[in-house]
Amino acid sequence: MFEIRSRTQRFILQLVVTIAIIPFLIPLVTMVQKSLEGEGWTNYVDVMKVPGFGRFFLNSLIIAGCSIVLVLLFTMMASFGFSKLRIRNKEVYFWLMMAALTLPEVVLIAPLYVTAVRVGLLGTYWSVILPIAALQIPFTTLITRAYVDGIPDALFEAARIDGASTWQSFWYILVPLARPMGVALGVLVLINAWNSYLLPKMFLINDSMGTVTLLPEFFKRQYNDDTPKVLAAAVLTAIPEVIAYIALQKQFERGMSAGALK
Amino acid sequence: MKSRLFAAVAASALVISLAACSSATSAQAPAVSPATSGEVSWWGWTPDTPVAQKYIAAFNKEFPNIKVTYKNYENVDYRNAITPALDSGTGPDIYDISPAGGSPETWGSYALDPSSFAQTTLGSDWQNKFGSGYVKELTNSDGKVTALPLGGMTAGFLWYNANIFTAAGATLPTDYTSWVTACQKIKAIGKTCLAMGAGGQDTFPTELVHSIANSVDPAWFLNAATGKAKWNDPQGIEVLNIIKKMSDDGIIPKNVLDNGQYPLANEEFMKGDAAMVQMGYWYAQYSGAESAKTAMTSAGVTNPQPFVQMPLMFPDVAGKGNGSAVFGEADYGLAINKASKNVGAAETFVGWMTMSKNGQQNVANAIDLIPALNGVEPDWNSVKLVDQAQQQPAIAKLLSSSSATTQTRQWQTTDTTLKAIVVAVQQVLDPTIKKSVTDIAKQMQDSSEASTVGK
Amino acid sequence: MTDVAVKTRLRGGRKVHPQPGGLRWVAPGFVLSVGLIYYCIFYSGFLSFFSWRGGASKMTFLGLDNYTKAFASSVFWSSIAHTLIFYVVVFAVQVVGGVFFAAAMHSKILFATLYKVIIFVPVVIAPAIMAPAHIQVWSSDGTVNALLSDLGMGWLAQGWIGQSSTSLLVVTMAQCWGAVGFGFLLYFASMGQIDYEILEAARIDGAGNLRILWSIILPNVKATTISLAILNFITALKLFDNPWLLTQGGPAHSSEFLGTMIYSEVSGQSRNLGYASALSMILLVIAIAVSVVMNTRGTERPTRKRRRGRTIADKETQDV
Repeated sequence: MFEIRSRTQRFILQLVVTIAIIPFLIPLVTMVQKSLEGEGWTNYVDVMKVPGFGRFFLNSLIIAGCSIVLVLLFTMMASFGFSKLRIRNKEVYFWLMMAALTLPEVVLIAPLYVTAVRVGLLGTYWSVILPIAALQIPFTTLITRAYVDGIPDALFEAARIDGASTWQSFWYILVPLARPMGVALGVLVLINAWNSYLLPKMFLINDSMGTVTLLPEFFKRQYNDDTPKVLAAAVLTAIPEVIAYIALQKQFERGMSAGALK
Repeated sequence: MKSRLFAAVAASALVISLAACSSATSAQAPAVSPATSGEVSWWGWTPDTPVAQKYIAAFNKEFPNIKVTYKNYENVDYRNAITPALDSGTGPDIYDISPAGGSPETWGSYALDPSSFAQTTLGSDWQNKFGSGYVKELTNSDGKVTALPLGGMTAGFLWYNANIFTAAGATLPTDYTSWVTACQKIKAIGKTCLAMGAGGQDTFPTELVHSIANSVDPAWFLNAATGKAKWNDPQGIEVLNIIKKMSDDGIIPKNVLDNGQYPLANEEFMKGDAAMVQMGYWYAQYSGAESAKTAMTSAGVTNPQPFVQMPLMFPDVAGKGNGSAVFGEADYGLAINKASKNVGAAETFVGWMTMSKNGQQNVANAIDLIPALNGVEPDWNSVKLVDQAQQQPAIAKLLSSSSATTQTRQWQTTDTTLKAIVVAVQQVLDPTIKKSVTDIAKQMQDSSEASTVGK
Repeated sequence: MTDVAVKTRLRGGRKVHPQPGGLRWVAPGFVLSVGLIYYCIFYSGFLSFFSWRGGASKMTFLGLDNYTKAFASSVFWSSIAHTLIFYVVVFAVQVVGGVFFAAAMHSKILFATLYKVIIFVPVVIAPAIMAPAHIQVWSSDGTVNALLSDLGMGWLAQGWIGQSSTSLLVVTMAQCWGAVGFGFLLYFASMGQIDYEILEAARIDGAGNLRILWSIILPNVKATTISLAILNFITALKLFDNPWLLTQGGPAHSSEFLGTMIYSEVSGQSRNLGYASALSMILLVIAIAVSVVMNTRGTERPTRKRRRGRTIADKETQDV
């Protein structure tokens, strides 16, 4: 983007960017530093010794996994519908969904506890998965619709002429082409589901169903939190997310780019 | 797209029970005799899980067939989790209730009245067998006792690091001038004088205000809290002025608004960087050899060498000869859920914890709560302190003067008032706020809400 | 069939008939999100007319009192002011930072992948986890003050968190830390779609880097900028995590936001859930009104035909 005409210019650009990057590192370094205070690496060992440690990761994985599947499926279907199919008063439906996007979460999860209890979902994974999915779908549909808009209608026309059903168009044309977007959505939903704290705390009342975000609780006391261990737990919680991001980085960029454009 | 922390908390609290709500009428404990077997769940913001497990283990020595599961919630999470749980009938068998913040009002209606049960166990004057006023503090406005007190708490005094005082060659302060002098000596060896954190929304700063107020005019604080006096009366203005002076004269440190009392003041004191801190009786536990080490490690110290932590009466800062009276009340009690399917077993557990010598002995030995039952003292042979000779008599003395308090701590101060006091303290200590003390006091009065409890 | 007509014009005149029966495709997502969400709105709307402490406490009908209380509260109006200031600053930083890093990463610099990761990691980590670190950085004895003294600007060192004049700054900076990465991601992707030929032509005409940035790159990423404007506004309105975790809205309400006000009201011991609901309703109305305005003004679909020439992304993959 910037044309570099000389080695000096290149050096300056490199320098400026490097300096600009430093503020982003500072809080991360501080966090790891503080997590090593007190007993040092033993803090991490203690966190891993928490009973059910592995189980918590598994639960988080289950919740994140199901949320991702649910969101991907419903989002793809909805964007397909909004973008490629005919619906009477389509825009009304679309804007109703988008209006939900503008809502502060406080308004949303209010009666969920009551509903969960009355429907008997309290203490099951669904009481957490469904709200997480519901809150992601408006945003994911918004950006996926733009992406699907960019897939030429001609492809679907051709398929229809050849006699393909709507379902076949969806499955054999849209889904493969929308894969980069799907990956992007997967990362976004993963982050939100993995970091979800209070939903699991309130709805997953069985001890064996806790998620990784509840790990720091073991080191919080009424007054005197064991801060280094709390931070160690936090670092351990964050590592899978960072790894997932790095691994999927390229795919993510490709997906997001098409989605952001109108 | 960010974390749902906020939303879910607010949401769960906004629940209306769509089923028929449990009515607010009191219900005496039915004639269910305590059972010796069963399963019981217990929710609370206190004690900490390891402590609760110790209690439960001791309980199981006498009642091995009752299984008790404790679930700990942080303060705020507790308030938001317990209500929908109790409403929906899936709540715990036993839950904590504290005198503060109107909890007996809010959650007392879900509880059994343990009076008849207590009477059977302790006799007809059972209320007097507990610390003075404890049962009253756990009674709601309908006159129903909502919980049996487990322990009490007092505050309004300081803890000091004896090692630092010796190293600095400072003498323990008894009034304002001696406090300033002590601070100068302490700062000369590079330590903070008084560790304090008044940032955020915690209500710890109100204890400072209460202590200073007690030295200005012992009756004023509670009068203002219950609407009989005003927060911007001359006493209030004098209290705020004293706080301002304490900051100017170097007693209150400059970083006081960076964070709340926990973690700021606690970490500084535990790291051995500060000479004094204002904490309540719960802090006595850090005089214990093991607890001191754990606390110091939590504060980030590697290979901690515990220091000698001693209590100190709050200096008479107003200089009127009033001293500064200590204040306290029941810290919390255990309530039995009306809808519980295990009332018998719950009664056994609650009875053991609150009314049996063994149960209360556990509480006493933790030197964290004042035992609710009168006449129970820590078994000093089993409580290992950092410096037994120095600390034991001091803590014992603190304990006995704590049992004789005449002022309550938060029972008669509404949450709104507490928050108004915190804001006022922050305005006084913030160097970028140029409001006059009179204006700050007036705002404190305007944003406060008089309490109608207990009168 | 207006939307179809618009679409056909965009596609250069060929008429395309969308297949019917789209509703059942949209239904699952629609029902789940709208159903769950709208139920909650009506619920809170109902509650906002009452005074209620929760649980088995009495519910007292108050009419519009909760709303008048909100509009008469100085804390409410300061929250609104804080929200606006916060929004403008974070949006500006996100755009400037995002565009700068995106442009830089599209140029030939070393360690690009490493930088991309460092910038994006803040987006991944939950605010609750970072809070102690942020506090440490901005404390009176923290990193910022230490850096200032090291750079010879020690006179600037102050109690950033604990002063009502600077507490909002701390909250804003903490937010920017995560916002830049998100902006970077979107801009990086959309910059990759810019036609390379246009850039080449401009360079041949002698345009310098800054000129290209201003006249070519920025207009081409306008769509991203609009999306960010809307997203940031919604975030600012709802904001809770960072102010609560760092300053709890203080000291003395100097970093209070609507989100923290609502949380305080709900989580305090003496609380009026009706008042919290009223605040939520006000928030909702503002959010919808502004979003609609922003969207109608922002989405003028570009009607020029885009010949799909070589884009930046193409060139980079070829060069590698």
